[in-house]
Amino acid sequence: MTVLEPGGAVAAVVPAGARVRIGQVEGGQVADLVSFARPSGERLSMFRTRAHNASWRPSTGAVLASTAGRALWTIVEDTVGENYVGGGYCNPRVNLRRYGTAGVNTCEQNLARVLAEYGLDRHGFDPDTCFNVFMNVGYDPDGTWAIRPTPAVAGDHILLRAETDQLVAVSNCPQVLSDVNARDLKSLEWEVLP
Amino acid sequence: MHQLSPGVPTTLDVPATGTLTVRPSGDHAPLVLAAFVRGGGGRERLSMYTSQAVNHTWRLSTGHALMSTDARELWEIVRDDCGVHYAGGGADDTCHPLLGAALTACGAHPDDLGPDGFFTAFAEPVYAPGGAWSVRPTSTAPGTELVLRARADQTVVLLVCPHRPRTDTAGATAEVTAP
Repeated sequence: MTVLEPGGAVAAVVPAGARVRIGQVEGGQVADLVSFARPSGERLSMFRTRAHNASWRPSTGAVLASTAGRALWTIVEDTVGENYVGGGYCNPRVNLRRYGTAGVNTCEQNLARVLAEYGLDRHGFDPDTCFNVFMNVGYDPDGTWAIRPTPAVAGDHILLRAETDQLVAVSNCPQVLSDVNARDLKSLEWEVLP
Repeated sequence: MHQLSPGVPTTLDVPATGTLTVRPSGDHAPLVLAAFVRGGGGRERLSMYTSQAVNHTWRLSTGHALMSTDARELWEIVRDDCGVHYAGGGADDTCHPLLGAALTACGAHPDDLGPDGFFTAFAEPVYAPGGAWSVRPTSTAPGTELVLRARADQTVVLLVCPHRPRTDTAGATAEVTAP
């Protein structure tokens, strides 16, 4: 098990059947995950995931699907039950529009940095590619779309089983401009299990 | 005036400050809109994630802006007689390849054709509290209009989804008014 420091990121190639565990240390922290089937390069797709599960709040037992509709991951365990599959990640351009500043680190920059050694830049993925682990986004009946603090507490975790060989990258979300991490960055646990 | 037949993409160039008016021909005619900014290699395109995040709503309507991947305003919704659209991104197995082919034919970058780039007018998303999710066509009264004002020079692809629960609607019309 590796501790993913606050605002850190990691990428790895995982074989089919391997499991990826992301765990809370102190609680209150979210992560952004993107992945790409190998060797096809099919991206993870949140639209396909919503459609496959007929759900905007997938949890244990749900499948995370690719742009081609293939199963990339199965959620084996999820002690929080709060993940965002609307697609998206913090980036300098949205930060500037929403919060008036582009001067803080973002998940887009984290993901692009760790994916660079695999030949991908920020155009190699897009908002639809991103599974927001533990993230709490409200689709309120009055139309409000709101990012809220995650309910995840210390000891919570999610366990994903890879259904195909793939490249995966995870950003320990560095967002401090919204309530998503309660404006206090924490560590996460990251582990690839056989 | 352009007639939009179900399943047939229509590509239009719209200059900044130009106006695009869409009129469904009848009930249950979801219309997918994709757009990208001319120049720049076709990499700056409509982004539904950015649109929801910047407008703080999943129910885009009059007064809201459709945003680009660079978080620039691409379109302002200036009139919306329907008020119910799907802003979450995505297109079905029939529409997505049609849109992708039309977009690449007019210069969009082939890596930037994902679901995030598709706004579906006249479709109603359901985000049930228990987690159920679906998108269904909405009813549109005769004369319903959706009017968008362009905030950048752009190319837009329009596609009336051919998959409908009813078959008695003919599609829609689109009209571009240059400044």
